[in-house]
Amino acid sequence: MRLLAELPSLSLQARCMVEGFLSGHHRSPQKGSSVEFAEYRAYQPGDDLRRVDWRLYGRTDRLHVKQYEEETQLRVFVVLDTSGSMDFQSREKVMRKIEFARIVIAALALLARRQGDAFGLGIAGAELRGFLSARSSVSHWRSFIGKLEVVSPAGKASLATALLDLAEVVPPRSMIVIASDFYEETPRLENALRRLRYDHHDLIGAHVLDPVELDFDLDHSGTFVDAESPGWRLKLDAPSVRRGYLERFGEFCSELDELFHEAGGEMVRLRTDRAPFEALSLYLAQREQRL
Amino acid sequence: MNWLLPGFLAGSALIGLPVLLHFLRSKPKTILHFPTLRFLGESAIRDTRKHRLLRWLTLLLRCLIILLLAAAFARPFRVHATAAHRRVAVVAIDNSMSMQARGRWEEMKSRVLAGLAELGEGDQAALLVMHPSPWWLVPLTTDLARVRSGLQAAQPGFEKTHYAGALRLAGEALAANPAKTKILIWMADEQRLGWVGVDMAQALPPGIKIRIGETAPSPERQAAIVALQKSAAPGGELVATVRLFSPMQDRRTITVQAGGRVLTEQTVSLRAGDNKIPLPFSPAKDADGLRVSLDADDLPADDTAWLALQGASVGTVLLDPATGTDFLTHALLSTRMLGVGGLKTSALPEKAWPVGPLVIVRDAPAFRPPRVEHLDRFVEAGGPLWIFVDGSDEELGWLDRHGVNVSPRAPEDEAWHLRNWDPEHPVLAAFSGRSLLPLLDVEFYQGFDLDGDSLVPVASWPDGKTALAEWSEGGRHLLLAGFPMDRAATNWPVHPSFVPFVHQAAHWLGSFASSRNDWRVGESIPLESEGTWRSLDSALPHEQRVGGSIRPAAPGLFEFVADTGARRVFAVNIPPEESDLTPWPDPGQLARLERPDAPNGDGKRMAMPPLSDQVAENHQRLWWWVFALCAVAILVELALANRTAL
Repeated sequence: MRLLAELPSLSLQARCMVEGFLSGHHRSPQKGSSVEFAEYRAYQPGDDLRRVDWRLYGRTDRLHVKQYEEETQLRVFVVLDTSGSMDFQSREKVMRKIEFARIVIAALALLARRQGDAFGLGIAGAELRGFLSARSSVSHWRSFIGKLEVVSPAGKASLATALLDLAEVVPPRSMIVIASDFYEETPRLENALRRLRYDHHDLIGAHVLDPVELDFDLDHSGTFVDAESPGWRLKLDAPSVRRGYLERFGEFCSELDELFHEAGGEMVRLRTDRAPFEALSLYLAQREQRL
Repeated sequence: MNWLLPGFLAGSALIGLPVLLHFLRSKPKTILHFPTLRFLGESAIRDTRKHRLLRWLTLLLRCLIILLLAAAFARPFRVHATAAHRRVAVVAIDNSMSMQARGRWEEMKSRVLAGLAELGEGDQAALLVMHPSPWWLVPLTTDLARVRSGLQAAQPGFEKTHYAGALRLAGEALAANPAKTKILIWMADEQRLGWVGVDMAQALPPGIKIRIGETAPSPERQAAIVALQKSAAPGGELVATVRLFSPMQDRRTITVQAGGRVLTEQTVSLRAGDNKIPLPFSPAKDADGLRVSLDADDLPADDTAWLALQGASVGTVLLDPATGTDFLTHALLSTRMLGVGGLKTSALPEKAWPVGPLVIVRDAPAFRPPRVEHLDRFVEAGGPLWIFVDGSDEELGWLDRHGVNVSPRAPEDEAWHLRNWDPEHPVLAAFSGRSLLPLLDVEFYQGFDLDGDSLVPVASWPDGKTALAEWSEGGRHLLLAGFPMDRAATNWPVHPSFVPFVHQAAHWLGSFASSRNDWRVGESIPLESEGTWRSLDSALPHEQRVGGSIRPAAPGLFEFVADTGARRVFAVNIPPEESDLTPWPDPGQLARLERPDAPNGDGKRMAMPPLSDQVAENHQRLWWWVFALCAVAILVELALANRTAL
């Protein structure tokens, strides 16, 4: 993941991520067909050979497959949490949570684009700080990446407020992927998810966590400062509080899983020191169900 | 609380180390930005406080462990408050014959009783009797009435005076006692003979006060019969040696009696020193012995002497020829210099061996025909035999036929020394009551392991295998030595213990011991078998079963009737040197026995704690409990350290 983070642009990072993800699949993730032709798409390994346009191949000496209108009906909205807690990096070798989430979101968008799906963006701060409606054109992809690259985490955010705002602008029956650490008051978050559930959205929670948040393998004592509320400081001895932390954190994760499950969604937990292929797999699984 | 080795307490300064480490590690200087503290709220603060408390507890435990270790090595002990204030007195009683001098015993006893009267409730006292070897008549006790009654009942004996052992034992007992005041009450006549060999400079441990009474005055009249000798000729005269100590000249009457009948009586003039007095008499045929007595003087105990009338015989030892210097023959023949109990040696005859003499075989020819037939007949007839194993095939075969397995020992770079000497065995009677060290020093370079059901070990090789054994077969006593008797195998022939051992072994094996008829009180008389020992005429009449040897406590004429029916008569007299009542010439030296308690400026004392402290510490063994507590603290510390380790 460190190597991925060192790539020069978010677009390239997303492309590498998707290529790496797809290289492990024998079947193309694309499904469905229709009589109404929409456009050609370059052949990807794993695509059904029956869908290759052999005439075009004879003319251009390149493999293309045909895309139809029905395949572009899925709208994917990715929501990025920009709260201060996302600006965390426990050590040099792992990515900052916001960077990791950005790559995950871009990869999802790219994957959606390659599938012919429309993709949109929501930036969650104290409220919905930014929004891009769902499209699948190349220009939209550039806008998407451009907006994503300038996002920086800061201060206290309210994911629940942002999700409620998003619910007002997103068409019903969309797929919404939320990349966040979900450090939000649980009742408020539950309320927001219930609202999204009301509009029949498919929800995917990408729970982005640093390894330290998951394992709390700190071996020293010191003054802990809350990333979203710098005034909140605690003098703690890490080894002695580890057990209690892990207990409470485990309960929190279980609550989140339960919330998403009740909202008809899925939650995937992503470590910033590992490739986020689970999130992409979950997206594809949801898409398959939808189609 | 007291400390036996307080220097170790300095080790408690090491507690600075864990304290330093604690404070170096305990300062949290790291600022750590964390995504959220919602999971590290009050409970985490509680955990941290608890952790901090545990760390302090761990620090305390570490300090405690160091303190306990220092305390354990310093060997703590408690001194009872009562013991620190009470007094303890040991009465050393000289019960030698010289204490029978007229008025001497009663006068000293009165003085000691007066000294004991000074002791009060809670104080301790003991009675230590000096002779024949120091022993506790009444061990240390607070029952002072028992001590007084024990002293009242005590009586002087007939032993020779020797103070060194009693002085050492009393000093050790007092030094080991925690009492504040330690008194050694010396109930003795300060006879010069008793102080011989005592190191006046290092006699008593520090802090012990010795109460020595006034030196007993020399008696006005003192003479002793120191020797009796009867000429071998039939109807010959008796010569009595009378030693006059005081006055310079005296007239005394000598009476010779046998069986209660006066045979002769003479009044003689004596000069200072030895006077040989011929006493012609006609002994009765059935008389066992003679009683010769002077008219009583200030020390009546040595005015009577006894003489057994059974003639002394010369024992015969038959040996096979030796190659090189015959050390054994020289040792046997040296007994003739003693005058009585002498031995003569002779070569083994070519014809049948007589059963009476002792036979010593050292070489293979004795086990070859025709001598081996003589040997077999000799052993079957009950002849006394001493075998030195030389490892020849004939010898080993003969021993194997008689149930004794002999195997040679592998040679080693270092010489062997015999161990596990049986001090009770009659063959070691010459060393009885003395040190066995001369025997332990002997070196052996060649030897054989002896093994057999009929062997009774007398001494062993360093690995425990039998080296010297009594060979009991059919009620007979034979001696088997698992080494050759030559200089190539051992240095024993040139060792001081060789001649006494050979003498005693030969006398015991050949039953020659009874040939000596003039014994002294305190000497150990070897007896050839078990039997009854009975006094015929003695100051302390008694009768007892004995076996192997006896050490008479009183002079007199005694008979020994062996279980086999053999009867022998022994005369036992007073050690002649004990009659010399001359006191120690320099009473000022006796005052040097007492050494002041010098806690400061005495290097030796600083290095070695007082014996009483050592004994108290040894009895209490508090260090063990301190170590146990320390072990528990270490276990708790380990458990806590695992929970608080960073």
